[in-house]
Amino acid sequence: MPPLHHSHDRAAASAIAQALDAERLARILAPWIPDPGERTFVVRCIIGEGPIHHRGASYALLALAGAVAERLGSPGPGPGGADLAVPMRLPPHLERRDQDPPAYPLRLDPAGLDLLAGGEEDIRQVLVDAVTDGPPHHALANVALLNLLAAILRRIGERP
Amino acid sequence: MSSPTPPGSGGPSGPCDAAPPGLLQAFRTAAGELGHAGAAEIFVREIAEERGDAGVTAFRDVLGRDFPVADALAGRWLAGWRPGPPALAPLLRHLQGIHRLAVVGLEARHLDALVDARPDLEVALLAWNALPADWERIIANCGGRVQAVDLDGIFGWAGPHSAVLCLVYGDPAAGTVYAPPAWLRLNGPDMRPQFRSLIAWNILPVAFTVYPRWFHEVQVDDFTALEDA
Repeated sequence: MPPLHHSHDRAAASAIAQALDAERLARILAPWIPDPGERTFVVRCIIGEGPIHHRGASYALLALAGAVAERLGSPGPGPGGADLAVPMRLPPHLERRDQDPPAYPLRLDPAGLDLLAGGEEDIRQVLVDAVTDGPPHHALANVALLNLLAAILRRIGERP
Repeated sequence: MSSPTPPGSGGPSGPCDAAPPGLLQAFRTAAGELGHAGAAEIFVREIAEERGDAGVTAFRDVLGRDFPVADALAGRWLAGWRPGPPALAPLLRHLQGIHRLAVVGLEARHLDALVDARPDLEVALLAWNALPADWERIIANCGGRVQAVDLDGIFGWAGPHSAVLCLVYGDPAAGTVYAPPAWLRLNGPDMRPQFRSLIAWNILPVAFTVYPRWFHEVQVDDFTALEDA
């Protein structure tokens, strides 16, 4: 294990990388991404790309949400749950108005955002746009966490 | 004042004395349009038929330091290895679920074998190389199966069922391989999350004994998979 801290009292990047368990994250995402190849792709985007502190933070949040979902016996997406695309952000000059951009194989379950929007479609739309925009590692971690939270909320709602 | 010795000439009493005039230029042209390994296979086979191992050794001495893939391939030939069909099965396993493939690096024989093995696969070739080449001719030789793309246009090939295939060389035991400079231009945080797989296909998985001119040492970890060709 590399030293946890360097001279500025921050964790070494290699120490963060060693703390990330790709198999654990893949297991958590499996109900939303059944295809192993597609799942590997999304896991790489979340904890294999982007700044190392994002990778570590996303992993911690998703692993914890996954643990909560597991304890609640959450079965994953509900019927018709994850139905919103997470588009790839191509360079603007390559985007085509007559064609949807390619999308990641993880789709957003908007149930949690619907709760926040309280039936206001405009609010729902801007929140969906906010969580699916930005660098792919960020957008996909957002969506994975929201899907877990939606599953957790659904499970809590089913309880007497 | 004497004029400088051109690369590959071998000097006034060097091995070039035994090499045909224009060998360097001919090899450079062939490597630019067939790939370094593909050109080396042809040259080494022809030279071996004409002059045997001594000729291959001379070829290596003349061109080796300028063309490290040719040097490594000639060394392998002298050790008894002979080129065979590319090993496609391991690569094809990584291409399951992939519909569009952007190729970085040129080895015509390997590219031909790949498009024959996956007739359904859409293939783009990044038309940029450190060696001068006639890309229209290279693409025309692919029988309509391959499109040329540039560094910008390759993003038009991105998608959840798209992959990048980079042709690499060298012994990966130490965690690095040699990639064409185009890979360095392409491999960035904008490209990496927009292709499902970033596959390295190792055309010549042997240690180089000369500086890997034309190529650059990159981490094996740059790629999501590495397979020998």
